[in-house]
Amino acid sequence: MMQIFLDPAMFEILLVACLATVSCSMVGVHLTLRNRAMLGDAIAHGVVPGLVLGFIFTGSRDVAPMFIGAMVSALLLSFLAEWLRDRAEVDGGAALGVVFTTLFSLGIVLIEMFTREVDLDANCVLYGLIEFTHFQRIEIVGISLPRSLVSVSVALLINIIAMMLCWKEWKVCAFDPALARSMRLPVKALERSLLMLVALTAVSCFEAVGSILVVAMIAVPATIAGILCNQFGYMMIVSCIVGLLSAFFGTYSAVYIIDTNVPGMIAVTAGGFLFLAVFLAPSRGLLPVALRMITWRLRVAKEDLLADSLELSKKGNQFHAPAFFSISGLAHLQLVIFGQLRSGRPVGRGERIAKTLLRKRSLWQRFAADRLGLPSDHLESPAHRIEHHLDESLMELLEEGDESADRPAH
Amino acid sequence: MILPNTLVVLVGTSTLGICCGLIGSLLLLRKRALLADALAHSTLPGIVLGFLIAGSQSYWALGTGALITTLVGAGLVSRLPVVSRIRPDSATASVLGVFFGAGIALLSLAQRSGPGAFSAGLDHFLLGQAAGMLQQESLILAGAATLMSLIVILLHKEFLTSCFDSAFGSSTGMRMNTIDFIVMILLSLTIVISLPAVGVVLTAALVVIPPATARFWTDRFTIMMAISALIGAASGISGTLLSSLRVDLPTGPVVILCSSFFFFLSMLLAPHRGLVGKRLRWKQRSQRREMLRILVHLFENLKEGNDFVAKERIIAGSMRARPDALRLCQSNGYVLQAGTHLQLTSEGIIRAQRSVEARKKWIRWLDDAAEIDRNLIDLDEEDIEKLLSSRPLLDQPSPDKKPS
Repeated sequence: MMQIFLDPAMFEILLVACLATVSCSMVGVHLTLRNRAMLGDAIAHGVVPGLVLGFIFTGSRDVAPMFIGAMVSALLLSFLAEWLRDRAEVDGGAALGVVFTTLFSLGIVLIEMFTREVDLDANCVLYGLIEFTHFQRIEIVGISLPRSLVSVSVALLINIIAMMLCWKEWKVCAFDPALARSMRLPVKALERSLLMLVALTAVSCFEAVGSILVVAMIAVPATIAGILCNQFGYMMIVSCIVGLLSAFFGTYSAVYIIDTNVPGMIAVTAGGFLFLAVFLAPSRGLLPVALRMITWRLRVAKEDLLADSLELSKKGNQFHAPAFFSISGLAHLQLVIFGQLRSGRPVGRGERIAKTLLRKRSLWQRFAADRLGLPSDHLESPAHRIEHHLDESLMELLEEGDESADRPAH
Repeated sequence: MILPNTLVVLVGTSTLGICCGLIGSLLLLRKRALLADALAHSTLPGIVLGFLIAGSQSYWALGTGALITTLVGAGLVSRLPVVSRIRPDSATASVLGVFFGAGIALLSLAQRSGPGAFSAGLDHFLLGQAAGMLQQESLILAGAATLMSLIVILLHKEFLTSCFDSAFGSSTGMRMNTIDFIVMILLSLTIVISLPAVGVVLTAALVVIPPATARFWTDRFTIMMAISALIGAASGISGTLLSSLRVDLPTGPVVILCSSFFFFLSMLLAPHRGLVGKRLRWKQRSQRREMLRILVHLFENLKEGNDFVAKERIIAGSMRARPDALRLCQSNGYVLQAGTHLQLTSEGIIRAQRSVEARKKWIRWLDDAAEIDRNLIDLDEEDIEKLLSSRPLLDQPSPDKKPS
């Protein structure tokens, strides 16, 4: 696994991928919180006319004019979509969809009409060529660096500075725009500057790593962070870490394991992390939640079994073991193994649990009858449900209430 | 003169436009317009897998693969926000990014080590080649699109319920989950059949733009679907015809540009929601309000004994009325101009009296019945008059109202 750090070409690819990913993950958090995660994809398609016009006007494949063209059309796209949503009352998603597809078609028509002879196909715009990082170099103060490394680091630097400058402001705007307005924050200007930052990040990363990586990295790490975290700051950190991890593993597997396209593999890795997060996240993952639910239902079933068997044995009736393949069957098995239920009557700790439960049930029934005034035929089933949730402190409260309620009656 | 080949393409694009327009309006009303984009992108891994498994570029192999991954994508987009804390928008974007990334990774695998070359097919699916449609392809496309449009039309009542009030729907015994599932399947099928014609991005456009355009013209579901289908067909036809004029114009993008032309035209010109109409109504309204202000001012002067008021005092001074409002007064015959002075006509007096009365009553009602501070009252007098004429509730203040 260390070989990726030793090969300079591979190391440069990895570095570019990591830096681009971190920038995208950072803006991604903001976009996700504003329900605008699709903006990455929209910009990826919407920049095409800008690129082509930049190319047509200067006639060269220089980076600068294409970059400016792409920036202009990215800004045009995001502002036009906002405007359609706010002024023309088009649904937000549809507004974005209308604008970016229109711009994209315009770009394709321009390509077909004016640049037939030149090799400027949509593929190189769409995919970026991270694999060629090593070969496109420029000199900066005597050091030869890959060109895309420079552009990506500049984008990351701008991102970090902007995030530090507007951390609180953007946070307030994301969660509570009304509060932000009442705090006299320039909400519109802040949101616009965020859009500009997104455009800058996206465009500078397209050129270096291709649009797929940008689209995936704006959406996926921030989504994972949203599942895992409840705080904005942590979300930012987790998003960046997930981005870095997927960049590393994606690049590694694309280069050394299955020999395929690097950005595509990074996106797939991020998707794998998303899958893991959905299933395994400690607080909301599907498996932990299911496990917690099963443990709880098992506990309820055990308590019910113990209480039932105690009541039955008091009346002298025979206790029947539940069906084997069910929650209560499992609970019965556990009770027998741990020796809390022997030949149909609770023993030792089991007896204590059963007695407490019965006490809780009668306390609650009395509370519901005396204090809540429920009719006597409505007492049974809620008491059966609530008895499992009463803890020590609540029981004490109920007992006190019971005594104080009794006193004036006597 | 339309060439027979163009005719073939025309049949394909117009039925496709109708089908996409119908399905798209279902999506737009669920506020899930961009789902189409995500699903269109998630066809890519299926196309490549279909190729890798079948070993050929046959229409059916690629189509089946695309349909399967699209359905998986659709299932993920709709289930992820339910099972986990993911916003619908993030789920859409994540599925798009991951599936397309997987498609690209598979594609480069297929190009490097798969059976045979698979480079030519890519552009075909990303950008579509409507102009190169064969007669058979076009007929399949037209048949499938017609079938799906029929399904949407037959089930439109169920779709209407599921778009607006799914709780009501399930209470009447409709299976909302099944209906949502049908919508997803129809959408996936639409996307898959339209891919070879217009490509990934532009399929999304065909699903998004016509309904968004139709939304400008109407507030009714069935009419919106009809208009949306009409615009889809119109843009399909006009785009195909336009692109057949020049050799280097690609059909798909021109169709989309036509539909976005319709979109922006409707945005400006639609009677109720169009920007021009809105602007005009706003202007008219503020003009009428200004007119009433002038009339009331003149009326107050009349009560003080000034039959004539200098025009200068209305236009400039503390009134600062807009000249166009004054012209409106004159053209309605409320005000007569005598030299440099203005005089209320008898009609103008009646109008001003009505306005003053209405305002008084309104303020009294707000004070008595609604207990609203009279300084906070700011309602258009025209509205008040309409309200008052329809409900004369003010002449009898309610007896149970206690003076506070």
